[in-house]
Amino acid sequence: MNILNFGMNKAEASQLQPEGIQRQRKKNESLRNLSRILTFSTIIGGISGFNATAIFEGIRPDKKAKRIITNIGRILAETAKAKEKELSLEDIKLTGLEGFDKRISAEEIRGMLKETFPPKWLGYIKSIEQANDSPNLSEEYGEALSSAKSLASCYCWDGQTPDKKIVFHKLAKELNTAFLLQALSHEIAHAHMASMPESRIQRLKQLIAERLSSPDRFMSSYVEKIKNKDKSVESGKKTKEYWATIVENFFANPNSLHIKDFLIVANELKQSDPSFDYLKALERRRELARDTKEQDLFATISHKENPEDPNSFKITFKHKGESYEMTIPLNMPYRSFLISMSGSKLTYGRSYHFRFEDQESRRSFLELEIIPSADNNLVKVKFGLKVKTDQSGSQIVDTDNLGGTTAGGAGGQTTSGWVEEKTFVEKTLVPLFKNENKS
Amino acid sequence: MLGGIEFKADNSVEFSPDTVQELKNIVDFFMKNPIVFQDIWDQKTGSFTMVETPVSPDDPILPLAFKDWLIKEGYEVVEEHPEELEEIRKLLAEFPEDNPDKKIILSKLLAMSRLEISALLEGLRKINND
Repeated sequence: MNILNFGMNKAEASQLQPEGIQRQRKKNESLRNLSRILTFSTIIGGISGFNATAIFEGIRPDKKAKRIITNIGRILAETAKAKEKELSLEDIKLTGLEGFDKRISAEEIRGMLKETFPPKWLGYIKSIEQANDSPNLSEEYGEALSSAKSLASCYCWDGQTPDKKIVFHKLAKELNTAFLLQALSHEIAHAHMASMPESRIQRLKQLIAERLSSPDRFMSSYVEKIKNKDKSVESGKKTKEYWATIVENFFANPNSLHIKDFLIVANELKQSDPSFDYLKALERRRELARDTKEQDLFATISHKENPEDPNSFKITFKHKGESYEMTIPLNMPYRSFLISMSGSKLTYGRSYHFRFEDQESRRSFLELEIIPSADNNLVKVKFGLKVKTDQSGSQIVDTDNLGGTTAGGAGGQTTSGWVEEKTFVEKTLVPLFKNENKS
Repeated sequence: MLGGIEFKADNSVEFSPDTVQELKNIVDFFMKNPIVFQDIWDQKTGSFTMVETPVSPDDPILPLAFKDWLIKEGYEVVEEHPEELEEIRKLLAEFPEDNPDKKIILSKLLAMSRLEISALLEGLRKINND
């Protein structure tokens, strides 16, 4: 059945007129445009503010669309580069950020700002600071926030000076770079809204008010938790928070947004900083988040023989810049130790096997898992033994003397293949220097 | 993809069959000490302060708190909206089975992001209303 036949089959008596068929044909053509747009969108990574907008503006992307968009992207990038020279991004004062995440320098943060945020949105920000303390909110807000931990503040609405300030509080220093980027987006969104001309703020408020009453709005605890007896106060707070939340996701996680929310931010961006290369910034942000994730969640591991006890070995690893060491009792002398995984990095929540051979050349495996702890200075390590024997032999591994708390049954045995150990040990480690301090 | 999570009305969690252990561990970790992010407005200083506060495992906000926490940790989180998929299928049913564009859209539907699905749905609604 072709499109024209479909139009005829579906047409009611009144539609069996040429204009009825024409209408159906137009409908099918529209679907074609829609499927092309989505196909194109998928090719470039699933999102693009500008081609998504095309759905509503009736732009028809054709086979040349990708090339055209690429060229536009290049031109926009060049323009952005030229404009960047005019902007005084270098003037943003960065204070105390050297130790953020224990790795990133203030200049690296300046680089992130340059590469991933619209320069004109940063124009009003006077400084970004890392504070060594946290404001006590309980005095002002009562018991409900008595245990609240402050992460970051945006001082942006004093109504007198256009200069805005972003402050990361003490706890933020322990958090990762992905959080830094998210929090910066959130706070920069507040600062940008505070800097908008009144007419644009009013327009934005109208658009967001529509979204807030819509069941397909972006759901976030920031907004949904806002309650106030005075509904106009509640609405005002929700509007500002909704804006900051969709901006945060527009820059970091755009695939999670509804197209209407995406377009609210995309259109504001087009008006306020049309030369900003959104796609390039998005790609760069993803690279940074990926790198960060690896740095944060991966721990480099090394091992060494324990001269005091030949039946055990030591593992040292780094987590968030701190060194940890633990002794793992094997209850048997070992001859060699191999890390039976590609690379030498560990990640949270995943088990790894380390192969070693005992003096009778029997291969055994240590399974080890590093578990993140709510306290950033602690790391839990869970480990157990597995043994693989040859087809003819059998071996029993005694894990009763591993120490620590057990979380399962006794060790097992097998005639071939894996012994699935049910006994694991959990230990909480503190960084080495803290151990030294204690001693 | 690490997997799918569904929060039930009582905040119990159900995982999709393809969920990897890593995600289950992450959920366990969060549930031990759940927190929620809020932005607190201070009229005196004209400032917003982002805070984290403990949240009860029974609090209805918990699923959103978990989602926001995951995003802050750098994970890409996409909400599923089956009602939107259903509406798209319903609108596409108006087109013939052998329409190649319909086939393309349907074949990609389950892999589409929230952004793509909502764009597609808005486009289909527009076509339907024209």
